[in-house]
Amino acid sequence: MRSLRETQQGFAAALLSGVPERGTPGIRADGISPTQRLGFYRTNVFGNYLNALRTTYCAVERLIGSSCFAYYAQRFVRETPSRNGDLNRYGGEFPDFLAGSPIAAELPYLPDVARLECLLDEVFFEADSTGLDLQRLSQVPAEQYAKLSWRLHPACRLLASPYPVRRIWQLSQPDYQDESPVALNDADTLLVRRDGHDPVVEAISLAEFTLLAALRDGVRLEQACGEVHHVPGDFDVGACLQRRIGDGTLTDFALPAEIEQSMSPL
Amino acid sequence: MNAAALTRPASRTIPVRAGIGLRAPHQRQILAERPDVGWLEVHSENYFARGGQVLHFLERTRSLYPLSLHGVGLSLGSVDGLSVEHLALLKGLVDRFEPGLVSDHLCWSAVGGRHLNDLLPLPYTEEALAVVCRNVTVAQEYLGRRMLVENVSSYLQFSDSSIPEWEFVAEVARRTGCGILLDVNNIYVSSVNHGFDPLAYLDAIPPAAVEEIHLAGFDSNGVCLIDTHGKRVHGPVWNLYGEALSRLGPLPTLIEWDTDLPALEVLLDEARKAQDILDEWSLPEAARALAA
Repeated sequence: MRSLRETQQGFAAALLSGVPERGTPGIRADGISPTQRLGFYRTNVFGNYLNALRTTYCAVERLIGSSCFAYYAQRFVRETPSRNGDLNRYGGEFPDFLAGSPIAAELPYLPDVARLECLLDEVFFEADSTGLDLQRLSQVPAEQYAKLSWRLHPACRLLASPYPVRRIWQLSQPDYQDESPVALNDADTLLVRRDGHDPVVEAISLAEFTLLAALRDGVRLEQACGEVHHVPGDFDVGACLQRRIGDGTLTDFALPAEIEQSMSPL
Repeated sequence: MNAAALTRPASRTIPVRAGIGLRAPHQRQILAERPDVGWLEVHSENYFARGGQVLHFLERTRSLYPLSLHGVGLSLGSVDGLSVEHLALLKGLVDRFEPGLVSDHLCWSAVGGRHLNDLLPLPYTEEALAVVCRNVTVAQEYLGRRMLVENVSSYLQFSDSSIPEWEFVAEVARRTGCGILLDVNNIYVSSVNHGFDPLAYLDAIPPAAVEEIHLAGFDSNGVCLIDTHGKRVHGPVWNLYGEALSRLGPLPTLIEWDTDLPALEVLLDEARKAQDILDEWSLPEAARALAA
């Protein structure tokens, strides 16, 4: 008699390999061949993975067609084990997989469209924020603002691409109307965030992208401004901060300990 | 409705009525129309979010209906044991939403860290029984409450199996104190696929352990019945449901629908059919005889 571990390992290997010669561990025939019986489960399992990928990467599927999508999804599933009992978490590596696939030579923007869809998914399920503590902010002396380390809302992501991925993603939405041509050499710097509960994709300037990326990485405002300084063009940091506090992109801040201690307790 | 009423949870117990599975495309309609259905069940994993819309909606739904959390990913039959991360996420939901029932399946879906994310059948052996009982006990202790374990449909049997499935299910409940979520459609599907008597299955189930019944539709691939949850409940399954109630008494009954999801009204219609049968079995015996 096989141990339960041997049965489960053998079953998983036979199911995922898709090769009948790998055997059908201890499955009774009972009028239908064990290979065929295992095939019923293989159909279900691969169907579940395909549906999970389709749910996240619907723009990619529309761009390449459902049979081409199914082909790449199947190859991805064979190479990429699921590591989680929650099927909703499957497929985060799909954009990198596409980047290494022949289709990326034909449609070089495709991996970044997939990255954008992956971020939209992350943003949808991310944590909520209690909102900015304005009273605490009002306690900070104005001359110390530069020393604040601003924090982005948990449901914010940044994406830079050499391709116009936002426009390409919009074009693949079922209800999108604008038929004007896409200039494939237009680079994108994007902020993905939630408006209420709905994920939105905002095109932002390279300077704003640089500022938000620096803040996301935890640096002080003065240092983030230094990084923005290297970006050509005019950029009003104050107006940007005001707008991003207003729309909930910036939801918290940290102060150096010495300033925190000097502030009166609330 | 005022804010206080919205934040007060509906009953913490699942009523002996028909309920439906809550699926995302029906969410807004249910909140807007508040259909007369006894309770709702959701797939726990669909709410393993850190925040955002799904949890917000579930919060609002919970204020209106009794709720059951039904998992598909705990892998209670895994020889490797349970994922602590998965259990922790489930406990977070249990603590926040105070569900009337918490359930998962008598199956396995992961081995060696690789998840197949499907409800895979177990060989019914003493070893598998010990593994399942250990995992159910761990889950119940972690969650601090009784769980229900559901029988699954299967399309194959293992030559090593030495215990009939119905005895295996009953023994898991006896050894761990867990409840049974009896899926009548799954019994029917497996009985056709493996050629056993579904009534013998029902006869072996200890009535006191059963806390919930599932009903759903199946499909056929030409050689086997497949539990797709994509159709109305089939006639023979309705009949078997009556047989189940005659043995177990009236129980909370859920209409499940996961693929090819139809309009909400179709699910509510199926729930009404289940409710009619439940009402019949809720009558005292004399009244039932009279009605017949």
